[in-house]
Amino acid sequence: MKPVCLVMGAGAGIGGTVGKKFAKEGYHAVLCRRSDEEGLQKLVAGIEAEGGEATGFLLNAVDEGGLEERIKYIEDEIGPIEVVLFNLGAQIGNRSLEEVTYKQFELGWRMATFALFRMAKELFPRMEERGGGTFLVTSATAAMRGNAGQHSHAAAMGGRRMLCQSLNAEYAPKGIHVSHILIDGAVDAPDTLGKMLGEEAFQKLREERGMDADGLMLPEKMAETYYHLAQQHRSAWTHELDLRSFSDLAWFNHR
Amino acid sequence: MADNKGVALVLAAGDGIGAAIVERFAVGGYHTVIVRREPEKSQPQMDALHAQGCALSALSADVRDEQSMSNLFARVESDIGPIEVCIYNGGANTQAPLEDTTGKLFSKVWELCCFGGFLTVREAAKVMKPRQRGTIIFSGATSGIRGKEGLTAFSSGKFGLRSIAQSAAKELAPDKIHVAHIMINGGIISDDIARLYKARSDIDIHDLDRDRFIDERRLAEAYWFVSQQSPTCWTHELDIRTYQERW
Repeated sequence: MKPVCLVMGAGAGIGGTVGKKFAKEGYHAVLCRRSDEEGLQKLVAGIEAEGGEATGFLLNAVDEGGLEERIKYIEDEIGPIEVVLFNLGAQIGNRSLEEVTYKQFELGWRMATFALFRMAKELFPRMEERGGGTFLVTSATAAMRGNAGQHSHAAAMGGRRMLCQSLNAEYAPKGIHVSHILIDGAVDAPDTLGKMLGEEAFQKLREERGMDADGLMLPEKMAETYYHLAQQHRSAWTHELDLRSFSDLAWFNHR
Repeated sequence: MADNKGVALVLAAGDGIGAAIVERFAVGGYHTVIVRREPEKSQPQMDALHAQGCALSALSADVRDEQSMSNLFARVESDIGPIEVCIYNGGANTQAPLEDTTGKLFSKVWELCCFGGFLTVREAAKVMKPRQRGTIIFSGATSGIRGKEGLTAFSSGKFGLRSIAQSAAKELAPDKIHVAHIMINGGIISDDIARLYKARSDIDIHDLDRDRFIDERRLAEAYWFVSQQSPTCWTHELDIRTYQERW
């Protein structure tokens, strides 16, 4: 039985690509996403075509009990979850204080912060019993600083970062490696940036800044960093690192 | 084993972390240049790695001296090869109560922690810019983001180093030169650290749990990894600590 790499938020960008990388390295990739069964099965088929193992599930991480049940099922039926990639985003675009509703604000927190807490609560005791595990968390610029229109997103992501630090402090000595990966720039990802911008604007951005200009982060290259973190020896763990393309400004350099 | 990847220049390559970095880059196919005040101290390591087919040189330079550093870079570029990776590992983990920290001690520690880093990145930028590529990595410390008692000199030097890394990263990124700051949070087992433990708490470091200390060879993997990242996704800063570290 192969160890499992569970990806929460497995679109065609970071989530699906990191899942593919781990499958190539001998894990059973379990890919979870909220919608688009067809896209999900395409990712699974892509991994299987290269000789890897993968299973896909549609899962809304906000639904009560759903995430916990899915973890139990995976542990019982597929294999021990050794690596988690928590890759749920909560970006809803810029919305002024007047525009953003109580419901939206709370939903951001449920996806970005509370779902992470629920996963840790369900999984960490199992990982601890097995002597360890790896919990990789994709995060965003908004985890480092707030901004106009980012009330929901920044509050949720800031909470995510603090939760990661707290989890790490409590569980690193028990063998669980929590790593907070700060994605500080635009990713060449059709399911997130692509959907936010629309197909035409996304393609234009790719041609201007991405592709040969190297200005958009490529998920296949990013996957190398995620995998490196999961392979670190416990005598030299990284809790936090940033990632951006060479031509992107760091968050602390923005005006 | 030298794959003609160019030169990896490791400044202030002492026997601990520096030596582990030297080994990683030499085995990885770079012509690795050891720079320390007494390069003959690295002879045993050079012999061992040469026997494995690695390419290495060792040179003497004072990383705190402007002329010495500019001579060093010129000599490496003309006699050995293009510097593709440049790592500054200078530091002097000196602990002293505030009132015992003399101006002389403060300056010396600052020169090693901070000024040497500045000279390094400036000289590296000069040779890397025309080629529009290169990686510069600084060995940082927790003391670069958090002060502590007894560390006025060391901490201010490491804070300064971190700001040099940030400023240079932004200035050199358009030239595709990758500047990274590796924040090391914890000690390795070395003679220096052993003396520190003995002096401070009368503890023999070898009686302690091995896992309380960073394994320098594992740490060197992070330097290697950062040096190989694609320009589409560079890490500027990462931290390294053992799973047991309290912070």
